[in-house]
Amino acid sequence: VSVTDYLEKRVVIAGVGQSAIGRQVERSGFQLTLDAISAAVADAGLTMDDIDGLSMFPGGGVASLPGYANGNLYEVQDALRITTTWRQGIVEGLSLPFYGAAMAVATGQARHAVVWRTVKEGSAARAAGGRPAYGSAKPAAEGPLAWLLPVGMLSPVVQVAPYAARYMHEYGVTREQLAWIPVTQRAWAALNPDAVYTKPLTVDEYLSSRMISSPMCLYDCDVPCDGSTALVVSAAETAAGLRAPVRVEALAGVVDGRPSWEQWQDMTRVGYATAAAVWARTALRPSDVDVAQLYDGFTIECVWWLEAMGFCGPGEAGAFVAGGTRIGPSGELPLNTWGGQLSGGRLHAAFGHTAEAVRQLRGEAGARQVPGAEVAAVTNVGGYEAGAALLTRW
Amino acid sequence: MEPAEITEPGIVYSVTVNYQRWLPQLEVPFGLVLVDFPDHPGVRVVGRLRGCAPQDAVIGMAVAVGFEPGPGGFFIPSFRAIEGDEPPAGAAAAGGPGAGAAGSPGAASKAPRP
Repeated sequence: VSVTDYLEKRVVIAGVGQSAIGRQVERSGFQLTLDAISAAVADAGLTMDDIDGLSMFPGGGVASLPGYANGNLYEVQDALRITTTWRQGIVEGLSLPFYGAAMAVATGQARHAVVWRTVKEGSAARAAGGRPAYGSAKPAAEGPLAWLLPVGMLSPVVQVAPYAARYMHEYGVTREQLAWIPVTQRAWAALNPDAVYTKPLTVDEYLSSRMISSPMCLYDCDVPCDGSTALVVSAAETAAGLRAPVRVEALAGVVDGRPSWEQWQDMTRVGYATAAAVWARTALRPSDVDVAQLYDGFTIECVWWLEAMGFCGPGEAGAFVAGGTRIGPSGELPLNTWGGQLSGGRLHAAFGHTAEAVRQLRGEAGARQVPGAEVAAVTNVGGYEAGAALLTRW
Repeated sequence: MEPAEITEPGIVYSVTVNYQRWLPQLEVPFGLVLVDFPDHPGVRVVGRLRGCAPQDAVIGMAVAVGFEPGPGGFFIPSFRAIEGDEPPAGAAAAGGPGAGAAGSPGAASKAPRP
């Protein structure tokens, strides 16, 4: 199979739309969802009657965890008054949130599919008295979390912190180096009017901030927020009728090894199988990437992706990001130009990252525009579940 | 698959010290260790750490298997630092290359629950 035959070549991202985003937004999750979908459909140059596919992330049993506000897919369809020939609430197979929608469009199940992600984690944290809502509402641990919650691994921060500890131990990478990821992303966020935090952050402030779970401090953690992002995924053959489509060059998501946070064998290497798969589906190479939107639920996840995707070698991310020059404005790899989840807000599952990649490739990123951006890398999560995509200018 | 009993010391693969009070009654800080067992490839157990200040825990140190009372009347893994232990040679290199190189399929061979 030639790389030009892969199904994702038949797909474009036609539209991106977002609701108001903030620590607390006084609109319901349902309202935020409809705000984002309406914006995305208009952004695509389409009308609601063109939409025939719906997908929300996540769906299924975890759709209604505290702070997860997608709601009910049928309720959203009813509100939109549309007919769908394809629907999905994605839990497993999430590698990238638009993966399922892309496959549906590529195989003719739908022409224009909307996929959305709505969070009210900012409000949920506030309602819980300032404590993160994640997991704390469960009366008893079950499944894989039964190994983690009872000993005190009560948050993803604690589950991921040992990855950072092991990585820094093996490669001698320092907090002083890694600080430049959140510091530089904050500088990008200052150029994004929709970012949650825009006040400049210094390395000293990072180093003196409170430790959450060593070696990860407050600024290594993304910002719970309220907001919704919607994407319109369309068949490439409809491009002539779209306002500003962006090509999907390659998509991949591989779950290899043991799908478990604590059982993952080599905690210094994450995302490599997914990265290898995505590069195998394209003639592009890492040096062709003009702008990178790499998942940053935590600083260390950005590190994984920088190395797994081949932007630098194993153990080299500390030196790569130190000083912020390479990943900042006019750097060789502008990174998370919307501020990322660390400053822009935890829109989750690479929705914020994908929306920004599309804007950059269209030349619509305003003050933070990377001149002449033609190829964007987008990655999602990191850990045993990991997705990566390459998007290119139409 | 059957549970397997492991009594020999383990080696700390990684460590974190939690400072955040996620729940009202949670006493912080506390150390958490991810422990591998050299004679049981693919077995890794997460537990509390006692016997040393949590900040003194280091990757590669040896720990003895144990348990302590946990939430809900259950016992949870609680490893005890082995005093005077020096990290064994090569411990830092534990954990093979390749993110995909999964451990043994003996996923059920975790430490037994009391």
